[in-house]
Amino acid sequence: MLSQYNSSKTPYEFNDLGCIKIFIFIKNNKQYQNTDRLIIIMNYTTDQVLALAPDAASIKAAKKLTSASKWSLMEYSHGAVWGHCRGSGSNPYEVGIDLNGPAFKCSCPSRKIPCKHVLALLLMHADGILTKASIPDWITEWLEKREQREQARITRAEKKATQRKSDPQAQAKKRAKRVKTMQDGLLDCEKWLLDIVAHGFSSLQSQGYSMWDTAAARLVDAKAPGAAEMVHHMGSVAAGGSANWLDELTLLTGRLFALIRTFYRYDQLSLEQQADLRTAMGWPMEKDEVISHGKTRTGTWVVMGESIRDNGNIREQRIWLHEQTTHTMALILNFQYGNQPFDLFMVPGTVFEGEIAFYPGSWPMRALVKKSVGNMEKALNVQGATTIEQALSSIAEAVALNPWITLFPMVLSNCIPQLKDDSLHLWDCKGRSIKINSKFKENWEMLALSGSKGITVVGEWEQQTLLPLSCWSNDGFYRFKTDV
Amino acid sequence: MIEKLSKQLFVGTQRDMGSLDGASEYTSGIINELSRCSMPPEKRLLAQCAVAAAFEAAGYLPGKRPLQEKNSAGEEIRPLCSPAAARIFETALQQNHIAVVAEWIAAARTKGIRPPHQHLPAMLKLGSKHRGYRSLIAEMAGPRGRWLGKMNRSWQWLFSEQDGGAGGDVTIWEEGRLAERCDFLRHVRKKDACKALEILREGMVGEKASTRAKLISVLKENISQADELFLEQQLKDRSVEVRRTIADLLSLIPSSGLSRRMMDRMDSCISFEKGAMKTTLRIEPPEVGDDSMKRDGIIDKPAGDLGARATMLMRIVASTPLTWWQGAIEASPEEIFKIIKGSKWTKALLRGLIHAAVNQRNSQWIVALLQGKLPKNTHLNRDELIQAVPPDDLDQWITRMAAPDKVLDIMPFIKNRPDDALSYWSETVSRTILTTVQQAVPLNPSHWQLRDLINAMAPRIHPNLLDAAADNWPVNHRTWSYYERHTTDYFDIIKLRKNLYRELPL
Repeated sequence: MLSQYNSSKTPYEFNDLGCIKIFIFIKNNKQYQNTDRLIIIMNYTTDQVLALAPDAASIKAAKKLTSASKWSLMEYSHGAVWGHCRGSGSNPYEVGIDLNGPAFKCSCPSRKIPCKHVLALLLMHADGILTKASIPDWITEWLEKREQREQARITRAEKKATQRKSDPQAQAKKRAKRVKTMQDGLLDCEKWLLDIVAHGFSSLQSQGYSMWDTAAARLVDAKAPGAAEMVHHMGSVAAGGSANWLDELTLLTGRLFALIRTFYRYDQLSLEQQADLRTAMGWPMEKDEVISHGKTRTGTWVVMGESIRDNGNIREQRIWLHEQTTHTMALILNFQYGNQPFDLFMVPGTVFEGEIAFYPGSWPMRALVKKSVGNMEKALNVQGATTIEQALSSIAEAVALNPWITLFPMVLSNCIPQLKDDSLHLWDCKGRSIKINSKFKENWEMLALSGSKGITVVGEWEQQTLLPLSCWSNDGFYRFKTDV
Repeated sequence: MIEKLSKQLFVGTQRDMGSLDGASEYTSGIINELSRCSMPPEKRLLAQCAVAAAFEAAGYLPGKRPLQEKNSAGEEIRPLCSPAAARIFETALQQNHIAVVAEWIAAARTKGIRPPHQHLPAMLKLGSKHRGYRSLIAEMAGPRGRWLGKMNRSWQWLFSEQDGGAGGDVTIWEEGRLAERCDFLRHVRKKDACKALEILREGMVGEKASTRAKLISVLKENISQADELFLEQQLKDRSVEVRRTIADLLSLIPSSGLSRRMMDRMDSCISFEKGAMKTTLRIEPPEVGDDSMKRDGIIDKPAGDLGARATMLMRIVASTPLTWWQGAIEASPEEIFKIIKGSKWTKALLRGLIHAAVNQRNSQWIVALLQGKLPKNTHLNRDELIQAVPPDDLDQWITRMAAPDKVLDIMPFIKNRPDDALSYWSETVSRTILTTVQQAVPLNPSHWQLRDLINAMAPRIHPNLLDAAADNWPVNHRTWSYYERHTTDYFDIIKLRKNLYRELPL
């Protein structure tokens, strides 16, 4: 199954990281050509297992099963854990975990993923009470089927990539067709927008939210989900009733108009500008396009922070990386449906050597981890912007290149948090201050870490406020709670 | 500029709101050029909004406002704990195992280390909610915690805990709620008993009776002969409730005037005649209450289901030092119960004895009351009695009480949490309770009180017995499956405490 070690690196344990054991394999896949398939096997700590749980009730139920008397079989091998748990029926539940993924399998009727049996088995594995054994046939079959599905997915992706490369004309034709569809949809949207502007926003207050929904749905039909999301956001601002809703709506409307007008000139733009527009419109590049067109950078990457956002049925995980030598920032985006757990490989506060492939763009930010080698070490302090002006200047440069980005990473060194008018602000050494996002829940913790002395804060800058994700103080690295 | 644009957008392009004055120097060029372009007014307006949006995104720069001068927190004296110890602390906080959190803090104090600063707010919140941990947290908060405390009103207790004895935050005494004032006074009393008397003397003036009674009851802390004069003077208080509180306090000083008066009254009410076969009891409560009795809190009025004479008898017994009984008859409390049984005054006597035992924290009498064969209609508040047992006597007491077939008798003892973060039992007590409970499980299938008892005892088992606490359960017995399902908290806490003492050994 997973057969090839990077022979120069052996598996290891880092106790000072909370006993995270990470076995990283690089499997050279010739069909992938320049790509190495990243395979990561994790041995979870108790805290990480608890983080996988879909809700608190699952944790409670799982703890009740963490007793050897409940299990007629509890074994593990390299990369897999399995067991038989007594249930209410006559046959025990078959529980299996593929630590590369992770992926879970359980014959219980629960719809939660992972279920309490999986969590219980992982908790007992974290406590080291499972027995090492050879992988039984029923687990081998499952793992092989998973591998086959993964290979099939890779083959499909490769086939798609090959088709794109072998028939560039067909691909260009397909792309042009999509651009035309989007432009037609955006033209309709522009007409709708101009009509609103002619009559004035005062007329919006008498209309319901449905007009925004309808406009957004039309944009989705026109394959422009990014623009649809902007329209939804405008609708929520118009209906939200906040004190400065009009000013905010003005800026959003201006931005949408600029996006529409720019998209009309799609074919006249550079590849990077086209990529920026596609991202803003919710039409991202395929991963193989990223790998073939996107710039790669090798270096030492610090995992600076992580935030998770709930967008309805889909949860979005943003992980920010910072390259220590060039101070390049990268954003790793992951999505999961419902309560599916995210990958826990990149832990904020750690550093690794690796190669990152950036999505094409005028100001490359989103990226994929192409290759990771070596150990995950604890990160020491990083150097960020020394003043707020410096940090915002970098953002201004980014906006000048890619005006469609609304969310930026910010690393501010030697800043001091202080309460002002019941909200938290960060001051730099020049006397400028920025406001902390009201969704931030750990004001007192940040104040405690600082003690009115300078700390390094990592956060996301959006709508002129900063959402802190982590910081470095005299007590070391601390990761803030960022589920918003 | 945005305001102008917004106003125009609000009314629509069918009304012209005039030119866009006040555009910034960076955008005025583009805005003016757009104004001159021949395009529909809606498009022109939206283009101007697009420029404004781009400028807002790229051009934001907050103005300079000087940082408010605040003293930075002082340097920490204690070094930071190890990462492993920090993780244990964080886990205890996340899982809300408050007793383990307090235990960690106490262990850190012993080792001379401190928790990470990011956990200070959680510690201070814990102190706000649980008064019993305040002195420990105040000590361990360090300069950073005190610096934080100054910024939050709900953490002001930090300073009364630290500075109360040296004339600290008098504002609490002058403006705080009754409970806060009692805490303040209690703290002063611990540091300087006489100073507390002075504060109390002035502070009681003008207060209502219930407040005076509560404040005076704080003097139980470190009560001594030096307090007698003050308390005797306060016996002139017009409130019966206050005088009875004072009587309870003076009965703790056997040589006090009140104690002697009560013992004299007992001599006149109760006498024993030892016969050949048995001892006879003679009880003659006073017919009416005189002024001296009224002053000492004994009123000749019925109380509850007791008549006037029975009530006076009960009050006298309640305020008499229990040493009187050993002087009157050389018998154990159990024997005295047998003697007083059957008398028409038994109910009054027992009520008085229960009050005296709890007030005077006499473990011999308390144990006798808990274990003795008392009349069926005797109302015993077992929790109150057990909480009154001095901690030093518990070893002796628990070995007498604990038995697998009467395991629930020790339930109030386990639920009792003294105001002390180091609230685990001695090794002897821990071993006795653990053995008793582990033996009780097979005898009590699906007993919800026993399972609650198991969960409640997890934080109190001595650290040297945590291995035995994790093991030695009757896992193969048919009753175990019920307890296993419902004692996950117990095993979580035991595991956490084991990790704690592995990192911070005793």
